[in-house]
Amino acid sequence: MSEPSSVSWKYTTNRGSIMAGLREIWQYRDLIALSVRRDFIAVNSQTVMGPLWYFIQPLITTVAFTLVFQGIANLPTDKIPPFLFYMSGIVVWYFFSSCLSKTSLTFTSNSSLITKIYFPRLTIPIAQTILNLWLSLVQFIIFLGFYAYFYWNGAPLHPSYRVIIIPALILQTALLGMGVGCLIAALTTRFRDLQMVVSPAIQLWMYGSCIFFPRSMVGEQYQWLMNINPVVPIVESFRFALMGQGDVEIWQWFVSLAITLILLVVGLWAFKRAEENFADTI
Amino acid sequence: MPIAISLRNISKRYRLGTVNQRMMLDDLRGWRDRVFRRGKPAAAAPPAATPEFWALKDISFDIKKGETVGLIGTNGAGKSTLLKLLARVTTPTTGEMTINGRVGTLLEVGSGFHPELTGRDNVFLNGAVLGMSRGEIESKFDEILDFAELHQFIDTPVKRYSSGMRVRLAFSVAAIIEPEIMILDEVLAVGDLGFREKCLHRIEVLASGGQTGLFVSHSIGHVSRLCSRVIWLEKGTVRMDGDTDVVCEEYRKAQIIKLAVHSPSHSAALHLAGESKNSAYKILAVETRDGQGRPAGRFRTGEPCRIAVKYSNNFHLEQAIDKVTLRLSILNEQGNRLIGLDSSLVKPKLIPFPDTGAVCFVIPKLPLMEGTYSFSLALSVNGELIDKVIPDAFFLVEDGDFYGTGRAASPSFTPLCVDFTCYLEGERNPAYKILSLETRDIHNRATSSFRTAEPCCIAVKYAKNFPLNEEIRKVTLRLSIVNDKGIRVIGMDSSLVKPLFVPFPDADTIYFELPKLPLAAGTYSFVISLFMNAELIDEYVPDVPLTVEDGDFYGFCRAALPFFAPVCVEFICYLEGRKGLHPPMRGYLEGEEIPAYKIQSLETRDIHNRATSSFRTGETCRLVVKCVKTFPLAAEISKAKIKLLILNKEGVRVLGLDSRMVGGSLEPFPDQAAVCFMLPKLPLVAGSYSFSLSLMINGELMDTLKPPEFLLVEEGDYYGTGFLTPAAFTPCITDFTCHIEEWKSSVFPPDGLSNDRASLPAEHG
Repeated sequence: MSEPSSVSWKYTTNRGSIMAGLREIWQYRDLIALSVRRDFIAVNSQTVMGPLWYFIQPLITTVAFTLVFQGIANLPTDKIPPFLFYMSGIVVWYFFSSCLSKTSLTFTSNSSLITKIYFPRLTIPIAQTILNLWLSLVQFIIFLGFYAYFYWNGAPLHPSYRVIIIPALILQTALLGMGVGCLIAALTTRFRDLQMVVSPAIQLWMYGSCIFFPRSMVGEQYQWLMNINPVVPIVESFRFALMGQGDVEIWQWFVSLAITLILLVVGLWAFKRAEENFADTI
Repeated sequence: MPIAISLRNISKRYRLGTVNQRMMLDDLRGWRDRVFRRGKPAAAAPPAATPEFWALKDISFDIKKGETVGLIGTNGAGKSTLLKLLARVTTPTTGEMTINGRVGTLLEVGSGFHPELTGRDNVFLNGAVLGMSRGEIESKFDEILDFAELHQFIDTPVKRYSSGMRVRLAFSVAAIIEPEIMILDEVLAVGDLGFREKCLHRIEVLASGGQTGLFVSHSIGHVSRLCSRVIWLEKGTVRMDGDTDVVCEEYRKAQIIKLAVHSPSHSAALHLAGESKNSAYKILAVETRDGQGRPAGRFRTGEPCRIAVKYSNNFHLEQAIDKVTLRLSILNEQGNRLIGLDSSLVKPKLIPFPDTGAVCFVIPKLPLMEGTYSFSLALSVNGELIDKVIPDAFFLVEDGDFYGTGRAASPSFTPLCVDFTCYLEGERNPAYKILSLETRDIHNRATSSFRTAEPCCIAVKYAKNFPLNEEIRKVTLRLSIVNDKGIRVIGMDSSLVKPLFVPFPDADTIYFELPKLPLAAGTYSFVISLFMNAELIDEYVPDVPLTVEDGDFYGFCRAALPFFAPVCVEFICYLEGRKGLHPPMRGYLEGEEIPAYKIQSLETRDIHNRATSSFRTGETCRLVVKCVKTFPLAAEISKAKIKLLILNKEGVRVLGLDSRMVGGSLEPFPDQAAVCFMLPKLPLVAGSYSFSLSLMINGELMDTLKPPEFLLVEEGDYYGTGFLTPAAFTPCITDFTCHIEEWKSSVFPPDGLSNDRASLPAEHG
């Protein structure tokens, strides 16, 4: 038998090293690819418009935001065309929140498989994140389409060399969403109640993340909140890189990066703990 | 050989009940305690509020590469936990575990399938979950498809599959991708029979091909079919680890003992009294009974079994009851129905149906293999289901000899025993079969070598093969003895001595007894034919030779010449006026009445104890009667006597000698007795005489014999006076004196009258 993926492990009460874990995930890369495919098909099966919804969903929200926050509440948008302003926030937030919410369901939605068979559990959040990355990429391209439209119509947009940080921002968003999601996933194995809180909490988080208002609008007494919210610098940097308007200092982004990494490490650590006990606690 | 799985002191603890009920606050408090009061564990340790349960305790074993190991144990023994550990679904609490190779598991078939994906996608996904790379799956894909037989549905979403199709696909993935270590947990309870057999076969192929496998099953049959080694878990520890047959046997024994201890009751009242209120009748209890009708909970395969179902009525039905049907199912441990008994099949109406009573089912030969069995019952009245229950009664079946051949069927091969015969086409298929033939000597010892004239017993064993449709009216057994030239020398037909042989038992032994084997020296063989109602049922040529050596058939110390006399017949050779005798031959069933002692022979001897048959009147004559025991007498021998009559040539008794007359005590009577009558002076006149003998034991006539020996008496000098006694003058001789007396009276001594004092010495006048 030629078994390139043949594995051998010593399994003790001590936890395995992180490197061994990463190597194992690499061995299961085909599983990740297939899981992405599975989830994509599963989500779109038997819907009439299929993946088209990924275009429509942010558009509807953007139109709604434009009507409500611009038309009615008349919130400022830092001189950016309101439609682009809201859409940029929504694209980033959608990516982040879907990474977070899908990852947080890792154990509960896959329990039948997890309690029966071993595979590196981390492949599930990774696959979810990759899937959401693809879907958000589509949304980003739509956003670029509108961006081009507004640009040609003479809107005050100032694209610059700074766009090169956008991939880094996307990666950070993905890791942040996955980190927080893993933490919640781990906690929900012990405290089921958290599941009920996740959705409203994400909603709340959005309100504090400069999605439909610019950071410049936030009062002095709440600036600390903006500093510790790692999403705010991401959103602001995104706007700043593409449209030349945004309220972000470089140190704020580094703080956000640090918080992202901390949350990721804590999330993965908790996830690892949870996966060992999950089969017993379910 | 390299080790595939190695377990060292593996333990697994579960906390009972509390895992998910702990409040978040408790946890937070716990963390706070741990962070801020490190070193004070006493404060942090929660009271014994969480009961612990050790699912596995200190398990250590190694499984070598290529071994197929079965895991058996009762529910809760820790099998599933162990499998979960090996499948890495959960982690051990303590201990160390090494697994070399990829583990493939079928813990629950198809749980990895996503319903929206096509069969093809799911195969890839399932393979990937099992750790295969895409390329590996692609190379095996066609094989998987062939095994699953799902070619035309492979691009259909799995949600449109039937459950059977899903199982097939899932097993195919697991079976074809050949994980290095295969773990199977009771999977084979699913799928249709054909596919299950295919799976078992595939596993056997894998196992024989050096696949490492671990199987968990409640079915000892599956385990013993697939595994070479079995580990028996009990209460989380290894109770026994070793050869499949040994461990399975011990396990089975323990199960039976346990069941017997735990459930001394073999009948169960149902706890359903309140539930079937609106039905007219309800089933109350079910009881298993043995062949004699006594309650019993344990049976052997092939034993008779009765099942009594007690019922009572709740209220009277408005309509008339014109049909009652009770259906009794016997279920195996897995809950599968093995036997379904429908009362309407044998007793169509079951009416009149009393208000309270019991319906009895009788199974003359229990066809179930070893195991525990339970029931399911359904009572219908007028075609309408009235009550249906699954009582918690069960009964045990142990290995038994169903076929009467001394061999028990293997439970791994046959789930149910049925009566069958097996024969080559064109061969006879007899309803009764002759099983064996045995020759025995006088002491009932099997031997094949005899002497001529020795008693010889031929035992023919037979058994019933299957029931004969017609009634048995007459049974005849013909036994031929054939010499080495193939010529029948003796033919014995049982109907000559025992005409009918009815009732004919299903299996018994028929004896042919030859008191004096009439065969001359040589080797002989047998042919037996069994006739039933005058129809040849079975013919049997046993492979038992009969060797006969020279023997003294006629009692003259002379052996017959084989080339002259192939068969010795009793005969006497005499001048006109004498009678011949029939050679004795008897056939009888064992236990039939035959004399316990037999008179074998009579010998006449002279004064020097030499055998002779010619005497002179007045010579000393000894008559020796030889008796032998044929079988032990139940009663003690308190009184034995032999009567010896001497008859003259007209058949008239001239002398009668009774052993009791001379006070001779014959007790204790030996097994082989030679009783000697001595006549100091033969009182017979010249002529030929014959004998008649009878043996009485405890006042009961045991045997009579008219021996062929005869006595030739010549004229002799009885009185020692030098004169021969003339036979023409006196038929009988007696002692007398003759002398001259003084003339006192006119009385003369009587002449020719015998007195009883035969033993008095003669006086000479």
